[in-house]
Amino acid sequence: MRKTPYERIRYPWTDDVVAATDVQAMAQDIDQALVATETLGANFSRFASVAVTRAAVQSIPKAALTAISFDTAVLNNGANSPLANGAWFSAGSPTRLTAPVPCVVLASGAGGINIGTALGVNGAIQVTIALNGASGGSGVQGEKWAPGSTTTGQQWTSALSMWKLVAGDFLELKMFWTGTPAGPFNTDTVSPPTLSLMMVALPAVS
Amino acid sequence: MSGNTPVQGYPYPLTTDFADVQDSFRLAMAIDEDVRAEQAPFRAFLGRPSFIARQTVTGSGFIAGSQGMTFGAIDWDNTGGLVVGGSTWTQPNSQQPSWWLFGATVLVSIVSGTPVVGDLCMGKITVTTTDQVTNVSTTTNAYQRNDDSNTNGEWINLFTMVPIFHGVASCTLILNGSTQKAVLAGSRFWGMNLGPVT
Repeated sequence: MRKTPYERIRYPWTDDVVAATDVQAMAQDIDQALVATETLGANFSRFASVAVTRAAVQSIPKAALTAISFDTAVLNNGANSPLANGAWFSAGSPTRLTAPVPCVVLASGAGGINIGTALGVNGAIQVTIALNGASGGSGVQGEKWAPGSTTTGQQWTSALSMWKLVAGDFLELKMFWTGTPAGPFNTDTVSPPTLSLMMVALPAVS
Repeated sequence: MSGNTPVQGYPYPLTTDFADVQDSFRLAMAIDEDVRAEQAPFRAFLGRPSFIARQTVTGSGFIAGSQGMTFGAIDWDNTGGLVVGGSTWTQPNSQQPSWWLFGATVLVSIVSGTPVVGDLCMGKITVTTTDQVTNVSTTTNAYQRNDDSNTNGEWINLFTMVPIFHGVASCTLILNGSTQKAVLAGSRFWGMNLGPVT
Protein backbone atom coordinates (compact mmCIF):
# COMPACT_ATOMS: atom_id res chain seq x y z
CA MET A 1 0.00 0.00 0.00
CA ARG A 2 1.09 3.53 -0.70
CA LYS A 3 -0.32 6.80 0.59
CA THR A 4 -1.45 9.97 -1.12
CA PRO A 5 0.70 13.05 -0.43
CA TYR A 6 -1.73 15.20 1.58
CA GLU A 7 -4.38 13.26 3.41
CA ARG A 8 -2.36 10.04 3.45
CA ILE A 9 -5.08 7.96 1.88
CA ARG A 10 -3.86 4.40 1.38
CA TYR A 11 -4.13 2.84 -2.05
CA PRO A 12 -2.88 -0.46 -3.51
CA TRP A 13 0.29 -0.38 -5.48
CA THR A 14 2.06 -3.67 -5.84
CA ASP A 15 -1.09 -5.78 -6.07
CA ASP A 16 -2.15 -6.82 -9.51
CA VAL A 17 -5.69 -7.04 -8.34
CA VAL A 18 -7.26 -4.84 -5.73
CA ALA A 19 -8.22 -6.84 -2.67
CA ALA A 20 -11.24 -6.12 -0.54
CA THR A 21 -8.95 -5.07 2.31
CA ASP A 22 -7.34 -2.49 0.04
CA VAL A 23 -10.70 -0.91 -0.68
CA GLN A 24 -11.55 -1.04 3.00
CA ALA A 25 -8.30 0.77 3.95
CA MET A 26 -8.89 3.43 1.32
CA ALA A 27 -12.46 3.95 2.45
CA GLN A 28 -11.37 4.33 6.06
CA ASP A 29 -8.76 6.93 5.14
CA ILE A 30 -11.22 8.88 3.02
CA ASP A 31 -13.55 8.81 5.98
CA GLN A 32 -10.90 10.26 8.25
CA ALA A 33 -9.93 12.92 5.71
CA LEU A 34 -13.54 14.07 5.56
CA VAL A 35 -13.77 14.09 9.35
CA ALA A 36 -10.64 16.26 9.48
CA THR A 37 -12.19 18.62 6.96
CA GLU A 38 -15.38 18.85 8.99
CA THR A 39 -13.33 19.65 12.09
CA LEU A 40 -11.45 22.39 10.29
CA GLY A 41 -14.74 23.81 9.06
CA ALA A 42 -16.27 23.69 12.53
CA ASN A 43 -13.27 25.36 14.15
CA PHE A 44 -12.79 27.88 11.39
CA SER A 45 -12.65 31.46 12.71
CA ARG A 46 -13.38 30.36 16.27
CA PHE A 47 -10.22 31.87 17.70
CA ALA A 48 -10.32 32.69 21.38
CA SER A 49 -10.40 36.28 22.58
CA VAL A 50 -10.28 37.93 25.96
CA ALA A 51 -10.63 41.43 27.40
CA VAL A 52 -10.06 42.34 31.05
CA THR A 53 -10.21 45.65 32.87
CA ARG A 54 -9.39 47.18 36.24
CA ALA A 55 -12.61 48.85 37.30
CA ALA A 56 -11.43 49.84 40.78
CA VAL A 57 -8.66 52.33 41.39
CA GLN A 58 -5.17 50.90 41.49
CA SER A 59 -2.34 52.88 43.02
CA ILE A 60 0.75 53.17 40.84
CA PRO A 61 3.92 54.13 42.75
CA LYS A 62 6.49 56.44 41.22
CA ALA A 63 9.10 54.94 38.89
CA ALA A 64 7.87 51.36 39.33
CA LEU A 65 6.63 49.35 36.38
CA THR A 66 3.47 47.99 37.99
CA ALA A 67 1.34 45.09 36.79
CA ILE A 68 -2.35 45.90 36.70
CA SER A 69 -4.49 43.54 38.74
CA PHE A 70 -7.69 42.99 36.77
CA ASP A 71 -11.01 42.71 38.53
CA THR A 72 -13.37 42.45 35.58
CA ALA A 73 -13.38 40.00 32.70
CA VAL A 74 -15.35 41.66 29.94
CA LEU A 75 -14.76 38.74 27.60
CA ASN A 76 -13.11 35.42 28.32
CA ASN A 77 -14.23 32.92 25.71
CA GLY A 78 -11.17 30.70 25.52
CA ALA A 79 -12.95 27.79 27.13
CA ASN A 80 -15.59 27.90 24.40
CA SER A 81 -13.08 28.00 21.60
CA PRO A 82 -12.12 24.60 20.16
CA LEU A 83 -8.79 26.21 19.23
CA ALA A 84 -7.99 27.19 22.82
CA ASN A 85 -9.95 24.78 25.01
CA GLY A 86 -9.16 26.81 28.07
CA ALA A 87 -9.76 30.18 29.67
CA TRP A 88 -7.14 32.90 29.33
CA PHE A 89 -8.08 34.76 32.51
CA SER A 90 -8.42 33.37 36.01
CA ALA A 91 -9.24 35.47 39.05
CA GLY A 92 -6.60 33.48 40.92
CA SER A 93 -3.89 35.14 38.80
CA PRO A 94 -5.49 38.54 38.31
CA THR A 95 -2.62 40.22 36.47
CA ARG A 96 -2.23 37.52 33.82
CA LEU A 97 -3.70 36.40 30.55
CA THR A 98 -2.27 32.92 30.10
CA ALA A 99 -2.12 31.12 26.77
CA PRO A 100 -3.88 27.73 26.93
CA VAL A 101 -2.26 26.56 23.69
CA PRO A 102 0.57 27.62 21.37
CA CYS A 103 -0.66 30.54 19.31
CA VAL A 104 0.06 33.93 17.82
CA VAL A 105 -1.90 36.81 19.36
CA LEU A 106 -2.57 40.46 18.74
CA ALA A 107 -2.67 42.27 22.09
CA SER A 108 -3.94 45.74 22.88
CA GLY A 109 -3.20 47.54 26.13
CA ALA A 110 -4.51 50.89 27.32
CA GLY A 111 -4.66 52.78 30.55
CA GLY A 112 -4.93 56.17 32.16
CA ILE A 113 -3.23 57.66 35.19
CA ASN A 114 -4.72 60.54 37.15
CA ILE A 115 -1.83 62.93 37.61
CA GLY A 116 -2.73 64.94 40.67
CA THR A 117 0.44 67.00 40.55
CA ALA A 118 2.27 67.99 37.39
CA LEU A 119 5.17 65.69 36.52
CA GLY A 120 7.59 68.53 35.85
CA VAL A 121 10.23 68.71 33.15
CA ASN A 122 11.48 65.14 33.44
CA GLY A 123 8.18 63.31 33.50
CA ALA A 124 6.72 60.44 31.53
CA ILE A 125 3.93 57.90 31.62
CA GLN A 126 4.01 54.48 30.06
CA VAL A 127 1.80 51.54 29.17
CA THR A 128 3.40 48.22 28.33
CA ILE A 129 2.42 44.69 27.49
CA ALA A 130 4.84 42.31 29.18
CA LEU A 131 5.61 38.66 28.51
CA ASN A 132 6.07 36.26 31.42
CA GLY A 133 6.71 38.95 34.01
CA ALA A 134 9.43 40.75 32.07
CA SER A 135 10.26 44.30 33.09
CA GLY A 136 12.66 45.16 30.28
CA GLY A 137 14.13 44.07 26.99
CA SER A 138 12.18 42.41 24.21
CA GLY A 139 9.70 40.93 26.69
CA VAL A 140 8.15 44.32 27.22
CA GLN A 141 6.58 46.32 24.41
CA GLY A 142 4.61 49.51 24.65
CA GLU A 143 4.39 53.26 24.59
CA LYS A 144 6.00 55.97 26.70
CA TRP A 145 5.47 59.68 26.36
CA ALA A 146 5.83 62.92 28.24
CA PRO A 147 2.80 65.03 29.12
CA GLY A 148 3.43 68.75 29.36
CA SER A 149 5.50 69.71 32.37
CA THR A 150 2.55 71.54 33.95
CA THR A 151 -0.16 69.11 32.84
CA THR A 152 -2.44 67.54 35.43
CA GLY A 153 -5.45 65.24 35.31
CA GLN A 154 -6.11 62.01 33.44
CA GLN A 155 -3.44 61.02 30.93
CA TRP A 156 -4.05 57.99 28.75
CA THR A 157 -1.70 55.77 26.79
CA SER A 158 -2.26 52.77 24.54
CA ALA A 159 -0.13 50.20 22.79
CA LEU A 160 -0.53 47.41 20.28
CA SER A 161 1.75 44.40 20.01
CA MET A 162 1.91 40.93 18.55
CA TRP A 163 3.32 37.86 20.26
CA LYS A 164 4.04 34.23 19.54
CA LEU A 165 3.18 32.29 22.68
CA VAL A 166 3.62 28.74 23.86
CA ALA A 167 1.13 27.17 26.22
CA GLY A 168 1.61 28.67 29.67
CA ASP A 169 3.10 31.95 28.50
CA PHE A 170 1.32 34.93 30.00
CA LEU A 171 0.90 38.58 29.11
CA GLU A 172 0.40 41.41 31.59
CA LEU A 173 -0.48 45.08 31.34
CA LYS A 174 2.07 47.16 33.18
CA MET A 175 1.91 50.88 33.84
CA PHE A 176 4.57 53.36 34.84
CA TRP A 177 5.01 57.01 35.57
CA THR A 178 7.88 59.16 36.74
CA GLY A 179 8.43 62.82 37.45
CA THR A 180 8.90 65.37 40.22
CA PRO A 181 5.97 64.40 42.52
CA ALA A 182 6.38 61.64 45.08
CA GLY A 183 3.07 60.05 44.15
CA PRO A 184 1.58 57.54 44.09
CA PHE A 185 -1.08 58.21 41.44
CA ASN A 186 -4.25 56.27 40.73
CA THR A 187 -5.41 54.63 37.55
CA ASP A 188 -8.47 56.01 35.80
CA THR A 189 -11.86 54.46 36.56
CA VAL A 190 -13.94 56.09 33.85
CA SER A 191 -11.84 54.60 31.07
CA PRO A 192 -10.11 51.88 33.09
CA PRO A 193 -6.90 50.03 32.28
CA THR A 194 -7.69 47.34 29.72
CA LEU A 195 -5.77 44.45 28.23
CA SER A 196 -7.39 42.63 25.35
CA LEU A 197 -6.13 40.08 22.90
CA MET A 198 -7.25 37.62 20.31
CA MET A 199 -5.58 34.61 18.78
CA VAL A 200 -4.78 35.39 15.16
CA ALA A 201 -2.87 32.33 14.02
CA LEU A 202 -1.89 28.84 15.02
CA PRO A 203 1.78 27.90 14.55
CA ALA A 204 0.82 24.28 13.92
CA VAL A 205 -1.24 24.93 10.79
CA SER A 206 0.52 24.51 7.48
CA MET B 1 -11.49 1.72 -18.49
CA SER B 2 -12.90 3.86 -15.76
CA GLY B 3 -16.13 5.65 -15.32
CA ASN B 4 -16.39 9.04 -13.65
CA THR B 5 -18.77 10.25 -10.98
CA PRO B 6 -21.18 12.94 -12.24
CA VAL B 7 -20.27 15.85 -9.97
CA GLN B 8 -16.65 15.65 -8.91
CA GLY B 9 -15.55 13.41 -11.76
CA TYR B 10 -13.90 10.82 -9.57
CA PRO B 11 -12.66 7.85 -11.58
CA TYR B 12 -13.91 4.41 -10.72
CA PRO B 13 -13.49 0.94 -12.29
CA LEU B 14 -16.23 -0.38 -14.52
CA THR B 15 -17.53 -3.92 -14.20
CA THR B 16 -15.63 -4.86 -17.35
CA ASP B 17 -12.35 -3.86 -15.72
CA PHE B 18 -13.02 -4.29 -12.07
CA ALA B 19 -10.30 -4.00 -9.47
CA ASP B 20 -7.53 -2.55 -11.57
CA VAL B 21 -4.86 -1.17 -9.28
CA GLN B 22 -4.52 1.94 -11.44
CA ASP B 23 -8.15 2.81 -10.87
CA SER B 24 -7.64 2.75 -7.14
CA PHE B 25 -4.57 4.93 -7.50
CA ARG B 26 -6.39 7.51 -9.60
CA LEU B 27 -9.39 7.53 -7.30
CA ALA B 28 -7.26 8.01 -4.18
CA MET B 29 -5.25 10.82 -5.74
CA ALA B 30 -8.35 12.63 -7.01
CA ILE B 31 -10.03 12.50 -3.62
CA ASP B 32 -6.82 13.55 -1.90
CA GLU B 33 -6.42 16.67 -4.03
CA ASP B 34 -10.04 17.67 -3.68
CA VAL B 35 -10.09 17.28 0.09
CA ARG B 36 -6.91 19.27 0.42
CA ALA B 37 -8.32 22.00 -1.79
CA GLU B 38 -11.50 22.16 0.29
CA GLN B 39 -9.40 22.54 3.42
CA ALA B 40 -7.30 25.34 1.92
CA PRO B 41 -9.36 28.34 3.04
CA PHE B 42 -9.60 26.98 6.57
CA ARG B 43 -5.88 26.39 6.75
CA ALA B 44 -5.20 29.82 5.28
CA PHE B 45 -7.25 31.46 8.02
CA LEU B 46 -5.90 29.40 10.90
CA GLY B 47 -2.33 29.83 9.67
CA ARG B 48 -2.76 33.52 8.94
CA PRO B 49 0.33 34.97 7.24
CA SER B 50 2.15 36.93 9.91
CA PHE B 51 5.56 37.70 11.30
CA ILE B 52 7.35 39.04 14.38
CA ALA B 53 10.94 40.26 14.05
CA ARG B 54 13.22 41.48 16.83
CA GLN B 55 16.37 43.56 17.01
CA THR B 56 18.97 41.79 19.15
CA VAL B 57 21.88 44.23 19.16
CA THR B 58 21.55 47.92 19.96
CA GLY B 59 22.39 50.10 16.98
CA SER B 60 25.20 52.60 16.70
CA GLY B 61 24.52 55.97 18.28
CA PHE B 62 23.52 58.92 16.13
CA ILE B 63 22.29 62.43 16.79
CA ALA B 64 20.28 63.39 13.75
CA GLY B 65 18.95 61.30 10.89
CA SER B 66 17.42 57.84 10.80
CA GLN B 67 18.28 54.27 11.66
CA GLY B 68 16.44 51.15 10.53
CA MET B 69 15.46 48.35 12.86
CA THR B 70 17.61 45.32 12.09
CA PHE B 71 16.20 41.84 12.56
CA GLY B 72 18.63 39.82 14.63
CA ALA B 73 16.01 37.24 15.49
CA ILE B 74 12.77 36.05 13.97
CA ASP B 75 10.29 35.19 16.70
CA TRP B 76 7.65 34.10 14.23
CA ASP B 77 7.29 34.10 10.45
CA ASN B 78 5.15 31.89 8.26
CA THR B 79 5.50 34.18 5.24
CA GLY B 80 9.13 33.60 4.38
CA GLY B 81 9.47 37.36 4.07
CA LEU B 82 12.09 37.92 6.77
CA VAL B 83 15.84 37.36 6.70
CA VAL B 84 17.97 37.34 9.84
CA GLY B 85 20.21 40.38 9.63
CA GLY B 86 17.84 42.16 7.26
CA SER B 87 15.74 45.21 7.95
CA THR B 88 12.75 44.76 5.64
CA TRP B 89 9.88 42.32 5.38
CA THR B 90 8.97 41.27 1.84
CA GLN B 91 5.47 40.19 0.90
CA PRO B 92 5.40 36.79 -0.85
CA ASN B 93 5.02 37.24 -4.59
CA SER B 94 2.32 34.60 -4.64
CA GLN B 95 0.07 36.61 -2.34
CA GLN B 96 -2.83 38.47 -3.86
CA PRO B 97 -3.38 42.15 -3.02
CA SER B 98 -4.05 42.07 0.70
CA TRP B 99 -4.72 44.23 3.71
CA TRP B 100 -1.92 44.08 6.25
CA LEU B 101 -1.61 45.47 9.76
CA PHE B 102 1.96 46.41 10.67
CA GLY B 103 3.15 47.49 14.08
CA ALA B 104 6.29 48.09 16.08
CA THR B 105 7.68 49.07 19.42
CA VAL B 106 10.84 51.09 18.92
CA LEU B 107 12.85 51.21 22.12
CA VAL B 108 15.25 54.11 22.14
CA SER B 109 18.64 53.60 23.74
CA ILE B 110 20.71 56.39 25.27
CA VAL B 111 24.18 55.93 23.81
CA SER B 112 26.00 58.97 25.18
CA GLY B 113 25.33 62.25 26.89
CA THR B 114 22.39 63.39 28.94
CA PRO B 115 19.24 63.42 26.79
CA VAL B 116 17.68 66.83 26.28
CA VAL B 117 13.97 67.13 26.95
CA GLY B 118 12.12 67.89 23.74
CA ASP B 119 14.69 66.53 21.30
CA LEU B 120 12.87 64.98 18.37
CA CYS B 121 12.34 61.26 18.70
CA MET B 122 10.07 59.56 16.20
CA GLY B 123 9.25 56.11 14.84
CA LYS B 124 8.29 55.44 11.24
CA ILE B 125 6.83 52.44 9.44
CA THR B 126 7.43 52.53 5.72
CA VAL B 127 5.37 50.39 3.36
CA THR B 128 5.90 50.14 -0.38
CA THR B 129 3.35 48.55 -2.68
CA THR B 130 3.17 47.85 -6.39
CA ASP B 131 0.24 48.63 -8.66
CA GLN B 132 -1.00 45.45 -10.30
CA VAL B 133 -1.67 47.09 -13.64
CA THR B 134 0.97 49.79 -14.04
CA ASN B 135 3.64 48.13 -11.91
CA VAL B 136 4.32 51.52 -10.36
CA SER B 137 5.54 51.44 -6.76
CA THR B 138 4.22 53.81 -4.14
CA THR B 139 5.39 54.32 -0.57
CA THR B 140 3.41 55.33 2.48
CA ASN B 141 4.69 56.17 5.94
CA ALA B 142 3.16 55.99 9.39
CA TYR B 143 4.69 58.01 12.23
CA GLN B 144 4.56 58.24 15.99
CA ARG B 145 6.50 61.04 17.67
CA ASN B 146 7.43 60.83 21.35
CA ASP B 147 10.05 63.50 21.98
CA ASP B 148 12.73 62.93 24.55
CA SER B 149 11.62 63.09 28.17
CA ASN B 150 15.03 62.33 29.69
CA THR B 151 13.53 59.49 31.71
CA ASN B 152 15.91 56.69 30.81
CA GLY B 153 14.95 56.03 27.21
CA GLU B 154 11.86 56.50 25.08
CA TRP B 155 9.30 53.93 23.90
CA ILE B 156 7.54 54.43 20.60
CA ASN B 157 4.58 52.25 19.73
CA LEU B 158 3.17 52.67 16.24
CA PHE B 159 1.04 50.78 13.75
CA THR B 160 -0.63 51.15 10.39
CA MET B 161 -3.04 49.26 8.15
CA VAL B 162 -2.40 49.24 4.41
CA PRO B 163 -3.39 47.35 1.25
CA ILE B 164 -0.29 45.96 -0.44
CA PHE B 165 0.77 43.86 -3.41
CA HIS B 166 4.35 42.72 -3.95
CA GLY B 167 5.10 45.01 -1.04
CA VAL B 168 7.88 45.56 1.45
CA ALA B 169 7.74 47.05 4.93
CA SER B 170 10.30 48.34 7.40
CA CYS B 171 10.61 50.35 10.60
CA THR B 172 12.89 53.29 11.35
CA LEU B 173 13.91 55.51 14.24
CA ILE B 174 14.26 59.21 13.41
CA LEU B 175 16.17 61.59 15.65
CA ASN B 176 17.05 65.24 15.62
CA GLY B 177 18.70 66.51 18.76
CA SER B 178 21.94 66.94 20.57
CA THR B 179 22.88 63.59 22.12
CA GLN B 180 23.51 60.16 20.68
CA LYS B 181 20.71 57.60 20.76
CA ALA B 182 19.94 54.39 18.84
CA VAL B 183 17.42 51.60 18.30
CA LEU B 184 17.64 49.45 21.43
CA ALA B 185 17.92 45.66 21.33
CA GLY B 186 14.50 44.23 22.08
CA SER B 187 12.64 46.48 19.66
CA ARG B 188 10.11 44.54 17.59
CA PHE B 189 8.46 44.87 14.20
CA TRP B 190 5.44 42.75 13.34
CA GLY B 191 2.73 42.33 10.75
CA MET B 192 -0.35 40.25 10.04
CA ASN B 193 -2.49 39.64 7.02
CA LEU B 194 -6.05 40.85 7.44
CA GLY B 195 -7.48 39.43 4.22
CA PRO B 196 -7.61 40.02 0.50
CA VAL B 197 -8.38 43.31 -1.18
CA THR B 198 -11.42 42.69 -3.30
